Formats: sequence, structure tokens, C-alpha cells
Amino acid sequence: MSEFGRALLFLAFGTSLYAFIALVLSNLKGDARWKESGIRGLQATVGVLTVASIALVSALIRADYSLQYVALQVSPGMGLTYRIAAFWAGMDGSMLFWSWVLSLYILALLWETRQERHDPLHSWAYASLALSLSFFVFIAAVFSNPFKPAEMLVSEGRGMNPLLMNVWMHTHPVALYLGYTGLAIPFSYAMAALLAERVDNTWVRFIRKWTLIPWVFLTIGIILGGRWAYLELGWGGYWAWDPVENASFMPWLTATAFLHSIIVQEKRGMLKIWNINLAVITFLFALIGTYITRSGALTSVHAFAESELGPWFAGAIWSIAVVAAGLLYMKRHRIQSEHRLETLFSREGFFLINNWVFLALALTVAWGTLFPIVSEAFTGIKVTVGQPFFNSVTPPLFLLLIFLMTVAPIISWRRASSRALVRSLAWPTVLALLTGGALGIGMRAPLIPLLGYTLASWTVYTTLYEVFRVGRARARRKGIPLFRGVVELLRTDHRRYGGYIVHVGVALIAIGIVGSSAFRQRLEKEYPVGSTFSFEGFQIAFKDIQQGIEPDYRYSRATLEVTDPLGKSRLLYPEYRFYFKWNMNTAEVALWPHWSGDFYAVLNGYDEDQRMGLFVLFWNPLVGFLWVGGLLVVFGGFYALLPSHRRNRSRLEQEQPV
Amino acid sequence: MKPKNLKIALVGTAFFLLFGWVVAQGIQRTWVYYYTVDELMENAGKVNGRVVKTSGTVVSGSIQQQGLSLDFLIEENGETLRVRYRGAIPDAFTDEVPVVAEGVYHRSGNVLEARTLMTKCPSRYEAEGDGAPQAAGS
Repeated sequence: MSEFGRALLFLAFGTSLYAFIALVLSNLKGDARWKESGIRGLQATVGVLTVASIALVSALIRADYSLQYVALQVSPGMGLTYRIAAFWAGMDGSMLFWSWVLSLYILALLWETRQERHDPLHSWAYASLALSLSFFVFIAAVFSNPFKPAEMLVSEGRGMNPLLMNVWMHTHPVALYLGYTGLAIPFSYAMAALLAERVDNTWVRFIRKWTLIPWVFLTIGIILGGRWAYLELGWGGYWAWDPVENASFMPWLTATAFLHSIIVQEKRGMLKIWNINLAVITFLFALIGTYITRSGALTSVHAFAESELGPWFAGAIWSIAVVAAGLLYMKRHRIQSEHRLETLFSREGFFLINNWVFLALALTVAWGTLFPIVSEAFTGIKVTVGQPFFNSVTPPLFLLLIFLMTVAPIISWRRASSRALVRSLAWPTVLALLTGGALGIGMRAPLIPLLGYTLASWTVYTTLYEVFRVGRARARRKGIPLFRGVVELLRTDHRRYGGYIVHVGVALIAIGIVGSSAFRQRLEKEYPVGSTFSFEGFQIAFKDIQQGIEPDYRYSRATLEVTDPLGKSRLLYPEYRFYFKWNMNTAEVALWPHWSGDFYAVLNGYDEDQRMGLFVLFWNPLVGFLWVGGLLVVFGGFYALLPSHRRNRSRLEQEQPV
Repeated sequence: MKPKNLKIALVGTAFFLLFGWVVAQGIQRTWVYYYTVDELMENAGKVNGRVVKTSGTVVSGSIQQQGLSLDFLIEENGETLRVRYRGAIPDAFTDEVPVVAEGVYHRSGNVLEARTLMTKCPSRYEAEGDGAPQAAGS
């Protein structure tokens, strides 16, 4: 089994490397036979990686403890879904999973472009993807081979880390990998556009979908990761600016910038070099993210230097940066902007500022995440940069983004007219100021949270009002009811209105973040069984505590009868567990979601002698907005992926200068 | 470069310079020394009375718990440090576990009044090896 798996990994490395060489040769010589052969090589790699993945999953399901990876990941008590999830839950398996997912993306791309394979734009992109794939297969085969034989035979595996045994935890890495890997495609097309000297609109128009798909997955991964932290880690929050979280956020920020700036290239023929840069930077962040997530090597320079993977990833990142910069320099004369930016007070101007802000945010997160390593490497001083840094530096940028997000979709191209803007913004502005004023008086909000609420509500009102206004005009013109006018409008251009839905979702997320971070309440105290106490208008009766033993852990489970400020009651059971094999405590959070916020209870220990429970309670206002907004963002992303009725027509229109 | 492009480039440059300055200030204001226990002992004079982050392994049998208050020793390369902490006890906290504590260090009594306490093991993905610390408390 072990030998078979290892052989498969090396075979996949061989076929992907062969595909790369064959595709490069075909492009240089213009030889169709080499191209055909290279594509076969890619397809063979997909097949081999699929067989390897099936082999690993079947070993996990059968609990074949002759493999080290299986012995570490599977315990007899684990059910089928957890055993399958063990494929990507550990470092070694996840490297194979990564490669396999990338190969599936390539397969889908080959299918999508099957009619256009002769185009050098596509075949250069295949070559670049083949090289990326061979890099990851190489890492999987040499440094993190999940088919390694067990060091000693065990009769019972240890099983997965209990903190990871959670449905969110199993879905969110999958989503993140689908995001990270997919970003290899826009990068490859950026390279191909340079190599094939086709830095026109073809590649950006083609790449939109192939960027949006990984972007949606990355978004899902980030949101589910937050959900996991919130439900499982028991510290009342969902985002800690931890390196692993930052790692997924950086490529998300630049991918979002890219999705916006390719619109400017498509419509106005500008920002061509910038777009290539953004595609490259995004993929570099995805690589850094993969490395950070998989190695945890950001704790110190030593961890980085000692990690076997460190030099390989660093090498890959530097070579990509150097090759991309060199190509851009060599081909700089081939790239001509078709228009000039006339003023920042225009849609393209706002998109440009939006790009600056996204990039500034990504660089800030990168700097805060990497600063400890840089500091230790250059000055020898070991330091740490944490939440206080991110929480003090990023809010102004986020506020600026919300502002841009509101205005950019309604401002006109080239040069905006103030009168049109006033028409679109007048009512929403009045409503937003009223909302902000009410909150400012009602919650006595400090300046930044107040600005956050006001701006986010402004986005929601402005976007809805715009849809209403244009929908109403359509309804009047066609003599149909208003509702039908709006629905028809939303279906005319999935791309634009998908974006609107995403914007409203982001505004709701902003409201959730402001509410739950600026107005969170927290109580930490020990209470005897039978006592009652109150917290933020909730009455809590600590009824009872039960203790017991399950196969993998022992638990203390408190029974709390909680009455909310409106007089409704509910029983909550926060639980404190101790996992034997891991020698580890975990808290099972008990939640009572309200529209106005979450009541969040953690049992943090139980003193048997004095019958005292240690509780940590949180009141997280408006945190529900975050999850609803997250769903909307994802929905909007999928909506924008739907083919538009208008698309065929606009392809024709695009032949004319806009 | 044409004057209009120049103006926009200047606005962009100004934005990035301003923001770079804000970021640099932010780092200046918020960074904290991060030492292992033995390194902390070496630099005890320098960090006395200041906030510092330190990592070490919980000494077996040293944990004294009273309700939510913890008092325990951590050790690294033969040096030990007393840690006092009150608050949510992180998952996985027990004897022999590597922890990261952040708080004010007092040279007299050689004690860290910790505001946050995190366990470093197990990492999110693997049992052995030290991965990303799990957050607890705030």
C-alpha cells in the first residue's frame, strides 16, 4: 500500500512535469503534436492523482494502520464522514488533496476551452498550470507523503484532534483549498497573456469566471472558518487576526481588487499592467497562505528555517516574482493603455482608489503577520504583533472601502455628474443619517463604530434604492407592475446585480462586526449549583451539573435555565470535556441566538468539592448580521456566475469602442 | 508623464505614504517583546514592569487553581517563571503543555501577571510540532 501510493505520487510528478515541458515546446515551436501530448500528460496526471486520492481515502476508511498518516488521523470511534475528512485534516493528506483539487480545476479548464486549445493564450496557461501542479505534487511526494509507512504498528489510532471534530472544521478547509488552488488559474492566464503577447481584453474577459469561482470558495472558507472558531474555540469571537486567518484574508483582498479592476480593463482598456500584477500578487499570497496554513511556521524564524518546506516555498515565491517582473519588463512595449484616466471623480477613478485600498489592506495584513519574522531576522529582536495592531490600523480602510462600495456602482464612467449622483444618493443619505443618529443616541456609540453603522446602512439603502429606481423606470416603460420590473431588472445582468448582492452582504457583515466588537459584553465568574444571576438583562439559573464518560472523553454538562429580557426561557447546556488520548480540555459552547445578538455561554471548569461551575458568558450584539451577510455574499457570488441574458449581446457591443 | 496622470500618481503615492506611516506607527505602538522563559531571564531588567509575551512549558504539579484563578510555573531551558492568571482557561491547558502567556512582568518575585494565556499544542492540524497557538481569553 505504502509503496503503491508513493509510486503514484512520483508518477504524477513525472506526468505533470512532462506536460509542462511538452506544452512549452509546443508553444515555442508551434507544434500541435507536442501540445496534444502535453494535454494528454495533464489528463494523465489528473487520473493518477485521483487514484492516489481514492487509495488514501480507502486506507482511512479501512483504518489501515500500516500507514503513519492513518494511525495519526483515525481512531476506531470515528465515523465514516470524519474518516473521509481526515484526508485533508492533516498536513500530509492535505498536500495531496491540494494537488488533486488543482488537477480537477485543470481538467475543468481543459474541458471549457476544448474548442480553443490552438490559441497560444490557453496553451501557455496550461503550461503554467502544469508547472504549478508539478510543484505541489513534488512537495507531496517528497516532503509530506501521506503513504509513509507507520513508524510502529498500533492496534488503535489516536484519531483527529477533538477541536477539529466539527462540521464547520471539515468543510472550511475544503473551501479554502478550492480558493487557494483556483487562484493559480488567473495567475497562469496573466503569464500566458504576456507570453502570447495578448494583453488585450480576451484574457481578462475569460478569467473573470475563473477568478470568481475561487473567490467564492475562499469567501466560504473564511466565513466557515470564523463560524468554526466562534462555535468551537469558546472565546466568544470569530476572528483573531491569527496568521492562519490572515493567510486566507490576504489573497481574498487582492482577488477582490482584481475582480474589480478587470472590469475597468474590459470597459475602458486601462490598468492592463496593474491587472497582471494583481493576478500575480494574488497567487503569491495564495502560496504564502498555503505555506503558513500547512506548516504553522510563522511562530519564529527558527521554525521557518527548520521547516523542510520553507526553502522550497520561498524559492517558488521568489522565482514567480522574478519571472513575472522580467516578463512584464520584456513585454512592456506590447502593452498600451487605450484610454487615460480623466479624473478620479468617475467610476474608473473610484475603482482605482478601491484597488489602492484593497492593496493597502493586504499589505498591512501581510506586514503585521510577517513583521515578527522580519524583525527577528534583521535585528534579532523577537517581538509579536497582535490584534491591537490590526484593530487600530485597519478600521479607517474598511470604512473607506464601504464608502467606495456604495458610490462606485452608481457613479458614471469617464466623468461623473454631480446631479445624477445627488439623485441616486439623496434619499439613502437621509435614511442613513437617521439610522446613524438613532444609534448614536440609543447606544451612545463612539465615533468609529457610529461611522461604521452609518456607512454600512448607507450602502444597503443606496443599493436597494438604485434597484428600486431603475426597476421602477423599467416597469413604467414596459407598463408592467413594479415588482415584475425589479425582478426582470435583476435578471438582465447577473454580473452587475450579483455584485450588488455581494455589496449588501458585505455591509451586513460590517454591521455585525461593528456590533459584536464594539459592544460586546463579557462576564467571567464562578457560581455554585442552584444559584441564579443576571447578565445584560438575561436571568440565568444554574440548575444542575451532570458528569459522565463517553468512549473518547469525560464531560461535565451544566444545565442553565436562561430567561431573556423579553421573558422567554430556554435551557442551555454548556459542556466541558476532557479527551483522554489528547490529554486535552475543550469547551462545548451553548448559544442562544436573538436577532439583536447572541447569548453565548461557556462552562470553563467544574470544582467538584465546592460544586462550583466556572462560567464565561458573552453578549455579542448583532453577530447574526455577520452570518446572514456572509450567506448573501456567497449567494451574490454565485448569482454573478450565472450566464447573463445580456452577455451575448454585450459581446457584440464590445467590438465597438465603448 | 502627462500632467493629469502625474496628478493621479501623486494622489496615489500620497495615499500609500500616509498609510505606510500609519502602519509604521501602529507597529511602533503595539508590538510586544516575545521571549522564551530563559530569554526573558536574560532580559529581565529591560522588560521589568512592561508587557511581554513569553512561552514555556507548564511545570508538572505546579498548577494551583482556585476557581478561575491560576498560579503555575513555566519552564524553558532550565529557567522557570511564575505565572498568575485569572480568566477563561484555554482548551488543552494542563501539565507539560507548552503555553504562551502575555502580561506585565515583575522582576521582584519573578512573576508574570498574565492577561492572556494560550496553549500552543496541539496545532490545528497535527499533534506533534508547535503550530498556531489557539486563542483564549482576550
